[in-house]
Formats: sequence, structure tokens, C-alpha cells
Amino acid sequence: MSDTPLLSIRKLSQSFRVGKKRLHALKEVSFDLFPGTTFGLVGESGCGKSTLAKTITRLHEPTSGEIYFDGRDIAKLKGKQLFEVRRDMQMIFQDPLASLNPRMTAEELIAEPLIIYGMHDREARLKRVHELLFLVGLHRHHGSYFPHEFSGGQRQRVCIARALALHPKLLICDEPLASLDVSIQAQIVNLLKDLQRKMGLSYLFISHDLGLVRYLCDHVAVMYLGHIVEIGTCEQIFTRPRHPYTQGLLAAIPMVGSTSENHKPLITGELPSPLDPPSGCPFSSRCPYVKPVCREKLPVLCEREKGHFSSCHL
Amino acid sequence: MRRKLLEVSKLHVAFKTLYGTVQAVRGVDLSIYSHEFIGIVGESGCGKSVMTKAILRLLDENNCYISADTIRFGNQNLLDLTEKEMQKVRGGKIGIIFQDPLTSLNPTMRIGDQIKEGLTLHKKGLSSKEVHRRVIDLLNLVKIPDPERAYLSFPHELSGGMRQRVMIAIAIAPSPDLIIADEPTTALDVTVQAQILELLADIQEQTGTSIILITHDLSVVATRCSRIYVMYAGQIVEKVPQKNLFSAPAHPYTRALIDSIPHAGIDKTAHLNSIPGKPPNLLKPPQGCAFKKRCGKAMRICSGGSPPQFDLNDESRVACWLYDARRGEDINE
Repeated sequence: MSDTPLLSIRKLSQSFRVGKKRLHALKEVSFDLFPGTTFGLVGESGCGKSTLAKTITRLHEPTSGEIYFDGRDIAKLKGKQLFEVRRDMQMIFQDPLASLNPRMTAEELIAEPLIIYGMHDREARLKRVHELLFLVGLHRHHGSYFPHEFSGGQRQRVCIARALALHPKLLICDEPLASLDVSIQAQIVNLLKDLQRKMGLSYLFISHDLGLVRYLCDHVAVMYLGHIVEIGTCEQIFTRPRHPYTQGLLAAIPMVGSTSENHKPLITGELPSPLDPPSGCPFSSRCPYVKPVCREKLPVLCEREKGHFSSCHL
Repeated sequence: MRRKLLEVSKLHVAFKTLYGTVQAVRGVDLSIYSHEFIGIVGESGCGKSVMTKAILRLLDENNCYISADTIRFGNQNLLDLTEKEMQKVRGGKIGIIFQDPLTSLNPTMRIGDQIKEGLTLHKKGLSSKEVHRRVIDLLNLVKIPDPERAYLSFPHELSGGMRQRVMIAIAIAPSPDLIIADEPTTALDVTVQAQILELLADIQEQTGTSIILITHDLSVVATRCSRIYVMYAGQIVEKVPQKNLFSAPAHPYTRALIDSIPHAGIDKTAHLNSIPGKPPNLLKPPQGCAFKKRCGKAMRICSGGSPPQFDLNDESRVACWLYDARRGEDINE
């Protein structure tokens, strides 16, 4: 693992106007992602995970903050420069059927990024497409299939092949397994692991499935209402969670082998509206250990042990 | 002595399609006793939802074939009932909760009125005052804060978890003997999922109704259900008590499913055990065992005949040739 991060986010904020109010989707989010590693983002739906992914790829304009990719701030890049940067960061989305053009064959879909970036002539392109199909565990003859002819797992493989066409350094995976059955999930997980080993890829892995995150990721950040509330190595987060939200999230997953006795949910209620977040700590409205100070002051991320930060007054 | 509440035997469901006949459910035997909380697990397309719809006779009988030896509910055979009699069973005796509460609730009706509907339909002779009180009680029972206000709200004003609580209130309103919950937590976040599962378990305990929980998520059935049926390609491949599900699953499919979920303490450098291939196409169900192509322990006999159900003990049953008493070589002869 190298010491210089591939992706370094500093105080990234994102807000949208909704009617007369402002919705703060991301609040001063900072983290580092190192080359060849996997960084996991977890949290409930609506906590800002996907907004973060889209802001990093500059599909959204960040409101403020810096995004250092490969040592260079890309938060304000435009036009041709942005186009060049995006070659190195590709995305895989949750629903492969929705992200593949139904009127294009797998071959055309995978060749599209190569055409956009003007790479190779026709013949070399086809050769590269076949390489990519093979790389993701498909066959040459699958190239002429349309998306609807594939199963869910195969479609996700096509999406992965397309994302890898340009030799990216960073792959942003936004819930890539959520639409797949368990038995197929494991196939894709193994594929992602193999590709990382072979090509030294870095992943930003967004998921609500904590079991998978624990298995796949090296570092993990837990998000709540646009804030990172806890961040650390995978082991720190899963074996010594410090933030009550992380603890509650872990307790809420029925873990393989657990029984109903140790299974009282810790977190009550639901995610408050991000348009109207609680004052002070964002989690104060659902926290089982809430104190008066939590409702007044926003806690900051403090280092609890080396590399392990959490934002809680307790 | 426990009473059998629902007994299904040899249920087959097939659909006519443009491409041929899809055999969605292929000979399912299932029973649930009173005061029981059981689970049915299977991947998408395994026939779990079709099966419950067939039991409730919710399928359009013009384009599907349903056959069964019996679907006995209490002392009635649901197959013999007229549509009118069936309407009394649906909602009244058997409640159902679907995956997506927003599509199951009427967007133009107030929550209270929607809960009231089931009460006035199935519990005749209640005064409107009593009905109102019962609805408020139900909202309290499913732990919806400020029930008087919720009574007057519309579905879009509530969050996903609250809507699912309303669905549960509707299902339990006529005090049914059985509730079928079809993927009730799939649309919800994990923290809310935990709350809803807890609520279902509480209600089961308080009202004494039986619950069938249908899900694709093994870990969801693992915590609350006393017995679990595992479905694959339209068949029940294993019946297993909760305590054995993770420690001693009998069918290779169940084993493989469990192994493909990363558990705490897994070696992160190792591969996950994935199941190769994909489930068979039920337009042309394979000869013999449906799982044989993906099974690590497939033998010659698996391609021959469908494996019969082998009783392992009173509580466990498995459809796999591995459990034939004639082990080893001679089974393949």
C-alpha cells in the first residue's frame, strides 16, 4: 500500500435548493482512499452515499471543498480537463438493466468508452472488447447479446467490463450487488476481488450490506444525514465501533448464527428529513444515549485510536 | 397438542406464456401450526410469492393451472370454496402484508379509513365508535406515535417504516389466524427492518396468530422463525428447524447459500464460496434434481429421477439423494 492517497476528499459539502429551503446532502466530508485498496461507505438510504459518489465524479457540482484525485484538485475542473480525469474514474451502478442501453449489444456497450476517448481502430477495439468480456468471465459469443438476453449477474459483468475498458485507477461501485440474488452476489464479489488483485484497482464501495463491506473493504466510513460520523479501518469499525449509530447499525443486522435473544433493535425511529435535521448532533433524535449537549452542539470527528475517528460527545 | 392451521400438499402452479408453460411451483408440501412463526426462503424466481398467491387464490385462473391434493385451512379445503367464501378467508382469516407498502395502500384514502375497511368488512355489527376505538388500538399496537393524527394522515405523509406498520395494522385488524408476510422488510433500511421484525414477533406473541415470513434473506428468517422452508426452482428442498439452519443445513443448496454470505471473522483474502451458474429455466425444468448442475456433490442418480423427500427426524426433511439410505455406489446403479 502506498502512502499517497489516490483520492483525497477535503471538507466536501454539497447542498441542493428544494423550494425555499436548502438540503445539505453532504456536510464537510473528508477521507482518503489509497491505491489498491477498497474504501467502504455505509449508511441508510438518504444519508448521502450516492450524492458523494456523484460529486466525486463531478456529476454534481460540489458546493464547497476539494477533491484531490491523483494529487490534483478536480473539484473545479471543466471541459477537456474534466473529460481527461474521468477516464481514470469509472462507475458501476445498482441496477445494471437501467444502466445499459437496451438497444445496444454488449460489444457496442463495452466499446463505447473506447470510441468516446478515440482509442484504437475498429479491429483493435473489437480485440479489446473480447479481452474485457473474458476478463469479467463472459464468452466471446456474449458480445452479440442485448442486455435483456443476459441474467442479472451477467449484466453486472457487462457493466464492469465497460467500466474497465479505459484502464481506470478508481472504480466507484454504487450498490453494485443490491439487485442480485445471494448466490450471484458472491460471484460478483469474487470477480471484483480478482480484478483488484490483477489490476491494482482501487474501489469506492457503497453498500448498505455491512457483511459484504466487512469482507471487501480495508477502510470504512459510516455516514448519517450527510455527515461522516465514524471512520476507520474495517477491523476498527466492526470490532470496536465507537459511535452509537455504528453500534446500532451493527446490532440491527441479523448476523448469521445469532438468535432472537440478543436481537433487540438499538435504534428507534427513522431517519429524519434531511431538509429539517435535528439541531446539534444529527443522530440526537434517535440516539439511545442522548444528552442535553448533543442537542446543542455538533460533535466533531475526534481520533479515538490511531486512524479511527468518531464524532460523538460521549 | 398443536393444531395444524394450514396444510398444503402437492401444490403445482403453471403459467401459460408466449414461450410455453412455466412451471413456477412444482409439488410443494407445507404445513403451519397455530401460534407458529415460520419462514420460507428462496431466491427470486423460485416461486415463493406465486405459491402464497396460489394458496390465497389470488392468481388469475384464466392463464394459469393450479392443482393440489389439498390446501386445507382449518377445516376447509380452500380449493373447494367459491369466490364469495374465499373473500371471507382473504383478509378475514388470512392476512397478507406485501413488500412495498406504498403500492399496497390506497394513496387517496386516509390511513384510519383503510384500517377500518377490513374491520367493517370482516367484523360485522361493530358500532362506528367501537370501530374507531379499535383502529386507534391497532395503531397503538403497531407502535405508531400519535395515533389520532396518523388516523387522519394519507400514506404519502408517512415514512416507509410507518407505512409498513400501517400494513401490519390492516392485516391484523380482523384478528386473522394466519398472516402471510411477503418480503415485508425488503424495501426498508436495516435499522427499520430490525424494528419491523421485532414488531411482527411481538404481535405474534400478543395475538397468538401464526405468521409465514417469506424472504430472500436467510439472515432475516434466522432470528425470528422457528422453522424454515428453503425453496429452489419451484420446490421445497429442505425443511429445517431454526437451530439447525446455520449449524447443520442438510441440502447442498442451503449449505451453499449460507457459505456465500460473508460472516464475521471470514478470511478476507479467501474467495467467497459462490454458487456457479444460475437457477434453471422453469419453462423446461431439468430432469432429476433442479440443483444438480450447480451442486458440488452431484451424483449420477441426480440426473435420473427427482429426489424424493427424506425425513431426517421429526422436524427436518430434505429432498436430496445424498440422504438415501442406500449410500454410495449402489444408489447410482
